[in-house]
Amino acid sequence: MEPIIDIDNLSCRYGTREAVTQLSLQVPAGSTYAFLGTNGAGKTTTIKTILNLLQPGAGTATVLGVPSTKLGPDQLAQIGYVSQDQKLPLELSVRALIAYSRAIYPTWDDALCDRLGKILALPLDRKLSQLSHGMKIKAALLVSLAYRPRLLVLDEPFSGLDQLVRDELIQSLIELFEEREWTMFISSHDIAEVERLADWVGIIDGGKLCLSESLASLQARFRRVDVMLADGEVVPSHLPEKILLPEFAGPTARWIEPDFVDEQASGERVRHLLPDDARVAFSPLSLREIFVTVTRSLRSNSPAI
Amino acid sequence: MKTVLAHWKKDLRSTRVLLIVWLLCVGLTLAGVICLAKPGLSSSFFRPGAGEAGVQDAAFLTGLVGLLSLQYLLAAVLIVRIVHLDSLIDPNAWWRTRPISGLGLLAAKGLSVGMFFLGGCLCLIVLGVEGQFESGFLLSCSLTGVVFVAGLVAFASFTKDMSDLILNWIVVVVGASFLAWFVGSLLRGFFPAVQGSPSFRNLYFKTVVDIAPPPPWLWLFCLAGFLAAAFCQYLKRSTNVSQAILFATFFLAILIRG
Repeated sequence: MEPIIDIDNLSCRYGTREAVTQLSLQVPAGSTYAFLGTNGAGKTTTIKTILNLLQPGAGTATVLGVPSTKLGPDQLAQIGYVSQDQKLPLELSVRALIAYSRAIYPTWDDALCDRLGKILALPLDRKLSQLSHGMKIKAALLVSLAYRPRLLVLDEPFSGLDQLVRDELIQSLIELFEEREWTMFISSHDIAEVERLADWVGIIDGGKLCLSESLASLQARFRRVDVMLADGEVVPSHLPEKILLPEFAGPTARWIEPDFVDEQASGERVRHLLPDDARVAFSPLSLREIFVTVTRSLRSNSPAI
Repeated sequence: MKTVLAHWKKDLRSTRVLLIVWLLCVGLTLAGVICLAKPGLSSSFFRPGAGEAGVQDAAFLTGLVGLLSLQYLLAAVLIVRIVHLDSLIDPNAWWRTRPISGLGLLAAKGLSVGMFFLGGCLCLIVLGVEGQFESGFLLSCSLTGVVFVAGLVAFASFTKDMSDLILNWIVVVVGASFLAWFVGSLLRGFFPAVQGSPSFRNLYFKTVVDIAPPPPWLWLFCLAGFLAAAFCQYLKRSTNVSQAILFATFFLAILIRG
């Protein structure tokens, strides 16, 4: 299946500073792709480039089969975009914004709009300028979902929202995405929030893509390894090379195994380096822990990444 | 077309308070002009033989001129506001990710701008008919109006707010004036047959103080330059090119006129 977003060797710079460097990734159709990175990692620049809001310095980005620089009304009618720094028409009321959006999107779904209105509990007659940040994001989300876009791009949609609103928004998105095959590309540095949504993950740091793979595969291959030795024994220094963030404290050691296959194979690889009575335990990592491991390891130039 | 109309309605909705005030001004101006010309209602402004204008008439006339000025000022503010509602220089502007092309957006803005222009023209026509002005004078006023409106749209298309617009206008006009003066001086140096004094004082008096209306072709030249700058910005979002076109338009107009 042709990817909905296909980025090839994309580079963008602001003046002399390179914000994104030779980034290549593909977003499969029907997936929910979480694009993760710390502040200033290059997430927003990438998103703005794929939506033709910024010009790429080099490389290409293809969205819905069209080069990003050629995106026109036909493609934009199939793309929903919500961003924290997007400037909504603040002089309009929520109702007027809906009326305006209904007129410009041929695929507008009134039933879905009503449903979203109820889920998001928006005050229809209030002006957008009088709404809180969270409410504005909700309004933007409503008018970006009600025409059933093929691709929904969310750039830090949960920033500045309280926990309750975040939960409501995520729940709404989960409910909607269960219904049909939409593709969602969501950037965030709130990893725990997007873990509930994502099935594909890309991690960007310092403008460079560190990894891009399915969440299932990522969670399958990352494991935390806890080693406990008998009293008086010390963990040997010659541990496997391909481990991340090792921590030692007397008879205990802990690290992250990035290429876990199964407990037996990975266990064998560790046990032959340790005394016979050493206890080794593997535990799965959350997406947040994987993200922290990957970015920290990159910054310490670990050869395992 | 549906998208263009939806966008136009959105613009009107967004500026409705100012719009109502402007419509009120247009209505009052029209009513005032009609009152002024009707026998029995007011004075002899349009009928010099009918009697002597009193203090009341002078106040009425002053009020009318004030209203007319306010109407034009409001129209100018509204035009700039409507263009700035969908910024062409801000990548975070809402319209940039909505299904409307640059040309569609320009068409939507053109509808609003045309409405304000027609409002101004309506006042002018009523004033002309009631005051029995020459049609040539009214046409000349309309042409000036079109050029003024096109200039406003062109400047607003690459600025973010009113203060930015005024600053850009000053920079472009002053810069173009100086360059035109400099080039004019050089030309006169190389071609002594060219008449006129190469002083900036002369240029100032020619362009600012000399209020004799420029020929219509010069207005049309300016109109073409302003429209080219606006189209360039809406279709290509090439701010530098638009600014260069505006600068060249002012430069050439002042050079030719000077």
